[in-house]
Amino acid sequence: MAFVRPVYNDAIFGVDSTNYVEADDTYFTFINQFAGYVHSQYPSVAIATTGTSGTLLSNQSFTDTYYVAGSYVTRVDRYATEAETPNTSLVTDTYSRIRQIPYTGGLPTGDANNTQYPVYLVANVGGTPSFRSMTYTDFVDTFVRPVLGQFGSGTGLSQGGTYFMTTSASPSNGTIVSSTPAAVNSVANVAAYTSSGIPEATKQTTDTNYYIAKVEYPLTSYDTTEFTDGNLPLFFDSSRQQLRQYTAAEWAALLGPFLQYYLSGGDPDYTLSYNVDGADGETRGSTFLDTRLVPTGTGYTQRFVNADDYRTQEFPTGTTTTTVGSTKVFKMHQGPASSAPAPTETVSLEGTATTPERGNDLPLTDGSLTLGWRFKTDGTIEDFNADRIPLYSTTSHLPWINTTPTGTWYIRVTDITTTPTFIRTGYTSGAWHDITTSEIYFNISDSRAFASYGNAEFRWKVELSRNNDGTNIAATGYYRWIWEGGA
Amino acid sequence: MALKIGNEEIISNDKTLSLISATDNITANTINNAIVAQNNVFIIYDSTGAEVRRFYCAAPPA
Repeated sequence: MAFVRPVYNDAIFGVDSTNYVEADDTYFTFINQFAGYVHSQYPSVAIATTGTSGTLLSNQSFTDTYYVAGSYVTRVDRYATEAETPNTSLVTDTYSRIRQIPYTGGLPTGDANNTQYPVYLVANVGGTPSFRSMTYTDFVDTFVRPVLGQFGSGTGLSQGGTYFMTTSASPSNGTIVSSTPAAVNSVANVAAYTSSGIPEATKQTTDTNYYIAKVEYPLTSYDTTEFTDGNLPLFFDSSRQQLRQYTAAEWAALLGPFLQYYLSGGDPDYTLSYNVDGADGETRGSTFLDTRLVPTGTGYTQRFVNADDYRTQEFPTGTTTTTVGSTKVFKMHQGPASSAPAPTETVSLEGTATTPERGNDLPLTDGSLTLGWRFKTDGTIEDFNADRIPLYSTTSHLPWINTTPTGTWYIRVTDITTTPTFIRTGYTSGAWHDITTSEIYFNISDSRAFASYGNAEFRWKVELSRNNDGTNIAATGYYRWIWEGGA
Repeated sequence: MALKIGNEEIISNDKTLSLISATDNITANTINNAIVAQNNVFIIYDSTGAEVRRFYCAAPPA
């Protein structure tokens, strides 16, 4: 058949115990909203942060960086010097936990005793009103199809059973799916490190947890002056041979599997899906940010315990800033994936002349230190330092191109720092090089004696162009290294 | 003349029935059939249109 209006008992607001009423448009406003409650009990596409069910969302790897203290040193004769005390270090944690678990059941079938669905008003042969049970198709056209589109946006009563990201363990509009967060942003807790506490635990952080939560409101939240779950539609209970209204649980069990089926792939136009930083969908809840300290010193700290116990340790220092390129958003999309064209190829570089992009870590020379930057053919930019052990890091460095390069791109790196003179290795400074055929790197080596100088810095200017003649510069950036000389 | 059981009046002079505490099957069926005879019906049909339940209702006299 088609859309039909059910009958419900509004005795709860009347004086008669059986005041049967044909549903009007107002009633449908609320019964459709109530589908949000049903979907919260029977979610179509579930999200988890633990277990192995479903599939991991792509494009995750939420990256969290934070500084930890160096190991402490104790001596019986004097304090270890700053150079003798291990440095703070930058730690990187990555999180890929969000799993999408679509409903795998089929479309409900059947119509038990031909009276499974709500009744509606009909005129019988004699012209007096009577009730008739809806068919399966009536039910779908009346209660299922009209609500499918309401789940694609928002986190209100009508969107129960959809998911969002939150930094609250007990959000007002939902329930977290697990105490295991999807990601964590840790920042060194400077105040937690004290001289009197040496040896301090190396990791002492303030953590912000990013949880995944399901939109879920209490049943009573759906009560209004016009509607409560006590006046859900009537149906003919064949086992009792009487008319009665569905309970909330019965209504959820009846409608829920239909929503699960259609919203999890049964109808491509209404299928819900989740992604991280994808092209489709709306951002759901909090945006993940990686914040960390930008060091303002070595954090070298002493503690005198007694004449046989001189302790030192280096603590994280600095102020908290957001790591460039660290943001990630959890998104939900309803409908087929867009056929958006591939993103336009663009290039970009980081840093300014006054605040260049800085290499990770604060290496300490031992009399021979090599530092540099690598610009790779796949678009990544990597810092490099050989402080005893070679270290490479792309953390927080945005790629120089947003997609796989097409055609040729050229790069030119110019030394900004001119004194003192360092040994240069890698590609020739000041010349253009084809970056699309091999990685281009620029290094300097500082061989000055340990402790013969304090902190040092080297800066480069970097340019990108389609040409190798210095015209049509497409992007300009600045990069630097800061390191300790030990003095 | 009213009909009394003990001191309780069961049928008054104006033919009002009072204080009936139960009915036997014959009386119950008689009353039920009287209601059925009024033919004020309320029918429940299943989703195929077949009648699954018929209620007879008392209604105010026309």
